[in-house]
Amino acid sequence: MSFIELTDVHQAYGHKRVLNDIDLRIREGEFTTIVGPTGCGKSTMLRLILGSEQPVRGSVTIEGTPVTGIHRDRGIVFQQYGLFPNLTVLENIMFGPVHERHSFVGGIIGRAIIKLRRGAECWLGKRVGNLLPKGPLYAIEEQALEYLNRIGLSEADAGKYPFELSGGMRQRVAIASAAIMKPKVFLMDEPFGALDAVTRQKMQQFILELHQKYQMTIFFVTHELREALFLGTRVIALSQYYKTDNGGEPGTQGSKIISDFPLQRTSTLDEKYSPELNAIEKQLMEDLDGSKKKYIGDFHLTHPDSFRTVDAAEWRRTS
Amino acid sequence: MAHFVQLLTSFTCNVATYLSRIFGMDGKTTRTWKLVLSWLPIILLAGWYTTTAYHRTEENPDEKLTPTPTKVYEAFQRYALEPDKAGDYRLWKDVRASGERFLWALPWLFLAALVGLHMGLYQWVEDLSLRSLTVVDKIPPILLLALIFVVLGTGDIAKVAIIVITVFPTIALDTQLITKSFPKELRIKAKTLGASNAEITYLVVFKNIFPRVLHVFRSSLKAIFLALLAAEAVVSAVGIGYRTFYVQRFSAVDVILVYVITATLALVTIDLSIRWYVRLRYKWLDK
Repeated sequence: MSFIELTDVHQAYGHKRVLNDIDLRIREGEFTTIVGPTGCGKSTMLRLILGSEQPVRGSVTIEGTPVTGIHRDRGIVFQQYGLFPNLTVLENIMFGPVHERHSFVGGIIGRAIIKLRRGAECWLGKRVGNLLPKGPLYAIEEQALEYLNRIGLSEADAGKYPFELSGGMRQRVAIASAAIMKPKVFLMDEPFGALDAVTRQKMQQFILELHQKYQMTIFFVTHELREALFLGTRVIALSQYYKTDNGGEPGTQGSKIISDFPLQRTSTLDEKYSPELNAIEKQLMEDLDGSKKKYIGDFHLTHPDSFRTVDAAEWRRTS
Repeated sequence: MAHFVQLLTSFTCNVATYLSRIFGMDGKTTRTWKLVLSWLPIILLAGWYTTTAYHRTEENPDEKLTPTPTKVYEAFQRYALEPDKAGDYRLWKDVRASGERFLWALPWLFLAALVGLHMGLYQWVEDLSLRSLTVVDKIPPILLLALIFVVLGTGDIAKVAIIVITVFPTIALDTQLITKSFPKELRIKAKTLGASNAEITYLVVFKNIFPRVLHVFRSSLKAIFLALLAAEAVVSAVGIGYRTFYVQRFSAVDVILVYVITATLALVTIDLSIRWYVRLRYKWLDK
């Protein structure tokens, strides 16, 4: 049943503990959004699932297989540096399939042929371009163009470089370049953090449409609560501000999942400000308030998939 | 009268504002001012030299230290347009010899960039080479000249070697820094897209940093030619450095100036062509 599974995960950098005993099960197709204060380890958790980092204790598995390193099954979209600046939009989208299916040299030759043909099409017209060889990457090129359409760009944008695109377009291409690999899990690290409000809203709708259409499993880190509530089917709050019977200090004790709510699937913008979401937002605000540290026994873990194993020293059930 | 004073004041005020807008801190020069200011030192210098030269030649026609532009041109004619006794056009022969030595050094400098790339991406290469390169980088190359001539002889190999020893560490270390500044996110992304280590190293990172490496190369041109010309000056039978130091024995400043100008123009050409190439070929750079 569970797709992504984190069991008793601890993470620390030197003496600084970041994650403290994280237990998490995520089912396939879930859009999990994760919020929390600065420095709570949201991105660390994402990197653990990505495999670019290994936990000091505990295990991370995907479909039962332990995560040991970065893998083509897990796609990533970062806030910045989402695209290779030296490649055109089309080449960026083609990057994954080309490097997976073709050798080092084959990729270079195939790309050169495409560049030549596209250049000829641009300067001499489509008819001349059609006379030129299609090259070994033609199937991938077609597929990339299809993805280009899917994200709302036209073929005219195919030859543009990332710096010629707006921030929103760049993130769309970044999503497409990850999506073309059909990864099992999409990891997104504040992908819309650098966008202006209107573009951000458009991108939110865009990602919702994608999720509804293709039912991808998405793990989405954000620091904006409303975004997390609007997008997710499940919202998780991570925080280093909580109380245990151990009496740890924030910053030395590491973060735990302090809230875990199921969310109604939203599809229209009106639902972004619905009373249900407002109520959850209010609750999350209270949970995340660092000055009112929640006791470990009072976490709101209401999602049906939520589970945890606790350290007896941290939670001595006195009552 | 009062009217005149007022006019004068307002005029002075306006001029002051205008000047401060250009010459004040964070001031912006107009296109005309840019042209005037950028040519001013060159024109002043040339004018000052020419007048001094003519005055001194007038006083003493055998004056050698400050040849007039005419004399310099005559020297140019002798060295570039007329063959010497052996039938060689000396200036071009020297430029060619120095240029060839420079070209022979280029593959090694490319290798330096590759070493720097690997130092930036693979810890073990860095462990292996960082300490030694940092030390070698600090050896004054002129002192090594003697050693190299003893070990490698006094031929062209020694001259190429001195260039390589001078700038190899600099280029490698600078490339390493550039490589390290390449965003880790893109390397991670490439990995999630199934690229192999070799593909990430050469097709992602190296292709992206290469224009920056060209800039590093550009800024080490002076060091390259310093090493090369010094080596030629010490032991050689042909080359820009050789000829300049040879004619220095006869205080032939006119010939020296011809060679100085030629070498400068050559360096400026190389420098500008790399800059233009980078600007045209890598339009995505720094955007």
